[in-house]
Amino acid sequence: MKRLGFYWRLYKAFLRASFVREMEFRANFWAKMLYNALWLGFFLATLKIIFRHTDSIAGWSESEALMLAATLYFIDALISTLFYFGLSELPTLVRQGTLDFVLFKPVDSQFWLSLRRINLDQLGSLAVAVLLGVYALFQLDYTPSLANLALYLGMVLTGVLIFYSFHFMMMTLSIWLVRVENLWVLSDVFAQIGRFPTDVFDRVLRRVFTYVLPVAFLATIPTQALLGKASAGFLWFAAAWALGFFVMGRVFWKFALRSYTSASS
Amino acid sequence: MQLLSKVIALLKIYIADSLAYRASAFIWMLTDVVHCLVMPLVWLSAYGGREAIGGYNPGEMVTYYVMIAFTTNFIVSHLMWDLSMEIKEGVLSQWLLRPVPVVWMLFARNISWRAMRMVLFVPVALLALWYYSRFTTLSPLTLGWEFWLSVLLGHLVSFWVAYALACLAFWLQETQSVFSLYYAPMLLLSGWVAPIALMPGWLQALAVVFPFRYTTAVPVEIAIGKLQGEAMWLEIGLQAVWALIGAGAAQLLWRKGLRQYTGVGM
Repeated sequence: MKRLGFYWRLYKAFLRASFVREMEFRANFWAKMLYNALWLGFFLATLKIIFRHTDSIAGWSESEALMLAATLYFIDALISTLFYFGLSELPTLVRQGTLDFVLFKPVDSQFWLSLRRINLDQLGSLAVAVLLGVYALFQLDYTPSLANLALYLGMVLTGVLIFYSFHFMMMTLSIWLVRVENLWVLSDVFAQIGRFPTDVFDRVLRRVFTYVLPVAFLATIPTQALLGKASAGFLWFAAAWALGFFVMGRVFWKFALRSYTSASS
Repeated sequence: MQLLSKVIALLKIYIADSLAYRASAFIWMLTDVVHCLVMPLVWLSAYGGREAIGGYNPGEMVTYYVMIAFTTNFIVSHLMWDLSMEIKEGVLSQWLLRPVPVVWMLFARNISWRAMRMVLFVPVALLALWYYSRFTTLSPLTLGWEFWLSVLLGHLVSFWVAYALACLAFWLQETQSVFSLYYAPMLLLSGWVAPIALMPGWLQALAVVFPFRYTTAVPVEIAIGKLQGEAMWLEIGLQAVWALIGAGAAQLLWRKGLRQYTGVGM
C-alpha cells in the first residue's frame, strides 16, 4: 500500500513536469491541436466518401461507423496522452545506452518508461472524440441503457489496456532492433486496422483480429456493446484478454531486458 | 561520360545504404499492406449486389487499391524529413563541397530507397491479388510502357514537390508540423484514400489544381484501364508539366535558400 502511494506521488510529479514542459512551447501546442483536428477531418472525409455510395458496410450504417470511429479516436488519443511520448523515447535510450539510468532507478522500469511524459496536446482530441460520439448517437437517435453504457466504458478500458500493451511490446522490440527507428508505426498499423468494423473481414481474418491480434476489441466490440449488439459475457472475455495481453507485455519486457547489452558501457 | 560514372557511383552508395535500412522499410510497408487489405474489403462489403460503384466494379476496386499501394512505394517521396534536418544541422555543408551537384545526390538517394520499397512490395501485391481473386474476378492490368512512363513522371513530380517543401528549412525553425500538415491533402488528392472519381465534385475539382493527382492516381488509372487513348496522353502530358513546374520551383527555392544558408556547425 505504501508502495502504491509512492507511485501515485511519482505520477503527480511526472504530470507537473509534463505540464511545465508543454507551457514552454505554447505555439507548438496549438499547432499540434490543429494537426490532430486535421487528421480527424481526414478520416471523416474517408468515411463520407464511402457512405456517399452506400447505406451500410458489413451491416454498419454511417452513424454506427461514426460511433466506431469516435471510439477508436478516443482510445488512440488516450494512449497518446498517457503513454506515447514516454515510450517513443525507448529506442533512443537503447541506442545511446542511457536505458541504464532507468534500470538503476528504484522504480519499476515499465512504470517509468510508460508514464513519465504526459502529452497534453491530445486533450483537445479527447474532447472532440467525445463530442463526435455524442453526435453519432444523436444521428442514430439512440439512447443507450445504463447497462450498455457501463458495458461500453468497461470495453473501452479493456481496449486501452490492449492497445497500450501492444504498443509497449512493439517498442520493446527496440532492445534487439537497435537500428530500427520506426517501431511506433507498428502500433499505428494496429489502429489502422481497427478504424473500420472488423465485420468487413472474412471469417478467418475476423477470428485472427479477435483472438490473435485483438484489434476488434479496440473499437468494433465496444461499439457493438454500446449499441446493444454484444452480450455482457463478452466483457469478461475482453477483460481476460486485456489482462493476458498486459501480462504478456510485462513478461516480454523482462525477457527483452536479459538481452539488453547497454551500448555505451 | 564523367557525370554518368558519378551517377552510377552515387546509385551504388545509396542502394547499399537503403539495403541497410531494410527492416525500417519493411515496417513502413506494413502501412501500405494494411491499406490495400482493409480498403477493398470495406468497399466490397458496400456493393450489396450492385455491379458498380461510381463506375468501379468490384474487380477494378480491388486492383485499384493494390496498384495504388504498389505505385506509392516507388513514387511518393518523403525526402523532406531528412533533408530539412540536414539543412538545419549543417550536414549540407559537406555535400556542397563534393564534385557532384547536391540535387543528383538527393535524386540518387530518393530513387534508391523508393526502388527498394517497390521491389519489397512485389510479393505483397501478388499475395493480395491472389487473396482477392478468391472473392472477385479481378480486372486485367495494363502495364505497358505508357504505365511505366507515367510512374516515372509521377516519381519526378513527387520528388520535386518534396524537395521544394524541404527548402522551407532554410527559413523556418520548425518545419515538422508543416510537413505533417502536407500529408492530409496529399493522401486525399493523390488517390490514396479512394479513387478520385468516387469523391464529391469539389474534391475532384481540387484534385485537378494540386500536383498530387499527377503522382499516383494517373498511373493507377492507366493500369486499371480507366485512362486510355487521348485522355491518357493528356494526363501524362500534365504530369510532365507538373514535373517541370516542380523542378523550377524547387531549384528556385534551393538557390534562394542557399544564399540564406549559414552552415551551422562549421
